[in-house]
Formats: sequence, C-alpha cells, structure tokens
Amino acid sequence: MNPEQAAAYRQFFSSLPSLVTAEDLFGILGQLQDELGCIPRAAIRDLAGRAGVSETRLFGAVTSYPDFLLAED
Amino acid sequence: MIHEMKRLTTRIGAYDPLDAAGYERLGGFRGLRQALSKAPADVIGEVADAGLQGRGGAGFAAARKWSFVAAQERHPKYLICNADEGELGTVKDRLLLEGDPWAVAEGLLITAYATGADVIIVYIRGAYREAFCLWKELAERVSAELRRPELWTAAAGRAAPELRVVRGRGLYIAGEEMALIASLAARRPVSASKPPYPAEKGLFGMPTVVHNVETVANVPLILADGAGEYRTVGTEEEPGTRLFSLSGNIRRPGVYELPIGSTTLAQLIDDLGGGTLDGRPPKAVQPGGGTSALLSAAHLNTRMSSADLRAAGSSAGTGGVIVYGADRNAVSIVDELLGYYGGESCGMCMPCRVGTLKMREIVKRLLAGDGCAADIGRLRAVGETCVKASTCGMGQSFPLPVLSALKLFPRDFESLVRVPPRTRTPDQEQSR
Ligand SMILES: Cc1cc2nc3c(=O)[nH]c(=O)nc-3n(C[C@H](O)[C@H](O)[C@H](O)COP(=O)(O)O)c2cc1C
Ligand code: SF4
Repeated sequence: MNPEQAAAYRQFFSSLPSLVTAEDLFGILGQLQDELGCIPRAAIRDLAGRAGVSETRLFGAVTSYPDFLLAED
Repeated sequence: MIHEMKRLTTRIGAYDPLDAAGYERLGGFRGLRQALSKAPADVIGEVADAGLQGRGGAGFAAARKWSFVAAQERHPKYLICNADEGELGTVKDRLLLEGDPWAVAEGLLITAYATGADVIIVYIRGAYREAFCLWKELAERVSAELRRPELWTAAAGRAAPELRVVRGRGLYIAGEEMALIASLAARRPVSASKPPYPAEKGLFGMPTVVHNVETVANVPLILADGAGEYRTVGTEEEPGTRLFSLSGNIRRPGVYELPIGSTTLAQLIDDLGGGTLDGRPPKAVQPGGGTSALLSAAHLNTRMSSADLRAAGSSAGTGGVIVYGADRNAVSIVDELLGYYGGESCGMCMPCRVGTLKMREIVKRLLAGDGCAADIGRLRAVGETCVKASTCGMGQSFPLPVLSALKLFPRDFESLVRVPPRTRTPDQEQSR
C-alpha cells in the first residue's frame, strides 16, 4: 500500500458509521476495492472489530475473489 | 428460413435505459399494475399457470419457489436477482440488464409483491461495469417511481421494497445460489448442501428467493397479458421464449430470442448464425453453456427445448450455444473448458476439489504425449465420480463435456496415447 492509499484508507474508515453490521460488510469491502484499488490488511482487522465478526471469516472472504486485492500495510 | 421472435428483447434500443416514462410508453408497468390489482397468491397462480421455469440453468418452476417463500412468516425476506452470469458462452443477462433494465426491475417488483420480499438485491457480474453503473442509478429511479401511489403503496398496502445493487468480484462459483448467499453475507463464497433451502433459511438466515435475470424478465409479460397468451409460444412443458447466446466458430455470433422448441440447433446455427466460418458442419456444439455435454454434428436436428436436448444427451442449461469448428480436436476442446472450470471449484467437497485437478492433469498429460491407455479410463472414472458425488451443480456438471467427448470422439483421445504402459520408466510410474 502506498502512502496515498494509506491516507485514503484512514479517511475512509473514519467516515464509516460507528455501527457496522455483517449485512454491510460485502458492500464496504467492494467500496474499498473500487476507491483505493486494494483492500488494506488493516481493514480486515478494523471491519471485523466493528461488525463483531471474526477476522478469519473476513480474511477468508476477501482472499476468495480474483477482483479483491489484499494489500499489506 | 427462421426468424427471431422478440418478446423479451422487443424494447431493446427503443428507449433510453434510464427513462421510466419511455419504458411506460412502450407498454411498461402494465404487468405490475395487473399484479397489484390481485392478491399475491393469485399472482403466484398466474405464474404457475404460465409454467415459467428458471433460466439460470436448473429450470426449476418459478411459482413453486415463490410459494415456498410466500408461506414463510419471518421478515425481512430477500429476493436476489442473480446477474453474476459466469457460465462460458452466456451473455444474455447482460443484454437485458443494459438494454431493458426496467423490465427486469418490473419483474423483480412483481416477484417481491408475490413473495412478500422486503429487500431486492441485484448481484451483477464484476466485469459488467457498465451494467453496474447503470443499475446504481436505476435503483434510485425505481424508488422514485415507487412513490407513485398507483405503482406500489396504495395498491400493495405495504412499504415498497428496497432495491440494492451489488457488484460481483470475478468468481464463477459465486453465481451458484448457496455460494451467492454466502458471498453477500461476507462469508467465504462456498456452496453448501441443501436442505435447508434458501426459501426457508437463505441470506442472513431469512427466507430468500434467487432468480436469474432472464427468468425475472419474463414475469411482467405473464402478468400483463395473462398465462394463456404467454403459453401461445413454446412447448406444452416449457412455454415462452429463450435467449440463446451463440458463440464460437460462427459467422454471426450474438443473442437470439426464439420460442422454446420451435427451432433446431442447425437452424439456429445456419439461419441466424450464418453457419460456421468455413461453412463445414461443426465438429461439436455445447447447447447449454460451457458445462453442458457436447453434441456432435449428428445431433444438429435436435430441437432447442430442455426435453429434446436431454434426449440427445445434453441440456438446455443457460442457453449458451458454443460452436466448435470441424478442425477441432475434442481433447483440446475439453482442455480449454477444464482450463476455466478447473480453477473454479470452491473446494468444499472432495470429489470436485480433487476431480478438477485430476481431470486437468490427465488431459494435459495426454496432450503432452505422455498419456497411456489407462489414462482414458481414469479420466472417465474421475469424471463420473465427480458427477455422482459432488455437492453442488458445479461438480455435478463440469465433467459432462469431458464425458460426452470421450463417448462421441474416442479416437481423438486414443490417437494421443503415446506411451504403452510397459515401456514407462519407474519414475513415470511413481508420478502417477
Ligand atoms: C457453479 C454454478 C454457477 C452458477 N452461476 C449462475 C449465474 O451466474 N447466474 C444465474 O442466474 N444462475 C447461476 N447458477 C444457478 C443458480 O444456482 C440458481 O439455480 C439460479 O440463479 C436460480 O434462478 P432461476 O430459478 O431463475 O434459474 C449457477 C449454478 C452453479 C452450480
Ligand atoms: S461441487 Fe465443487 S463447487 Fe460445488 S460445493 Fe463441491 S467443491 Fe464446491
């Protein structure tokens, strides 16, 4: 992840509502991919925490799709 | 000479796809109005009388799915429009999504009314970027239209359903309904054995109905003019028209709409498609998408209905007709198909997870000239096991083109066998 992407991600995450449910997750991941061009590793931790689902579950989901690009922090 | 019969495709190009008024001038919303003037159960009855069957591959009766979901008391109920369209050789859903999106939206609203669905989700293939952008905008316009009392609130007596548009992410198996439901729930997109069926325990554990785009596009027609009129084309068991996506070795590839069962494979290929590129009869044809069994030139007089194609040894599947030229070798055809499907197993069940790899391996070995006679039997055995023992439609169907190729073109496989078993080195023996 380059510095612009990292900054864009911080901006993105801070603008998310405080309550995120499992229903919103696939949409949010898609939005991240479309806006940043990748899904930062940190997003998996952050989103899992906020939605109250396991990190493993989100990691499994994200890494299944050819069009999702997981980026190390 | 045969001609197309345009029912689903008649409005394509005739209005601006975002313009609801343009759609209405061309006869749009008649079906929704008719539906809202009836009780939901009567809408289901009309669709049952019309005999509408799913166009996504499995051909399940639409009205039966609807009544299962309608009978459920729990809310919210979900209606998923499956627009992931990942089957090889199939592009018909894209045509409807981009060319007559309001008809798809109208069909979804009628389905939601009949089943009691509160949320409609349209899951669009990732590569269909234009369709996705269009539908994002369309979703807003649909909710605006639904504020017109006569189009929903006054008549339906409950809140209008919410329309969400979601983009797929390039995974074929995500089009399978159980995997699709997992995908939308941000779980690993793998299939699952049924029951429980989605109608009972679907998205987020709630009652869910999943439909293909083309299935949904038929619904307004049925409600607007009645089941009787709808049944005037097609066959007794399979009424209506179908969209056939014609591709491969063909002069005029494209999507053609025809009454079901009215046309033979040869008429579709020659009259509408202009024949093969070199004018010779094709070596083989897949009549129902990339996972349907191959037919040979001897089957070209088969009529394009599920029953006729089944009798010929294949299936109507998604209506994707892929034509292979006379110069093709059957082993290279199955190699191509396995190259795509072989990487798409979700890995949930063993026969498909291992079978995809093994079959690919054997075909590659044959093509490299390292195969032995026993490999042909192995290929068949692995394919048959996969079809019988896999959990979902993926494992049950991707070996079908291979098995049919072995049956129809055994010489193509045999001629590649180079190494007689006794001359293999111990090394080769071990690597097996
Ligand atoms: C591997 C696999 C992929 C599938 N992909 C799609 C697809 O992209 N679009 C679709 O409508 N149905 C697809 N299906 C069929 C769906 O599981 C489901 O049967 C269909 O969406 C139901 O709609 P229908 O009753 O209107 O046909 C697929 C099935 C399998 C086994
Ligand atoms: S058949 Fe294949 S795709 Fe279907 S559940 Fe089994 S492993 Fe997954």
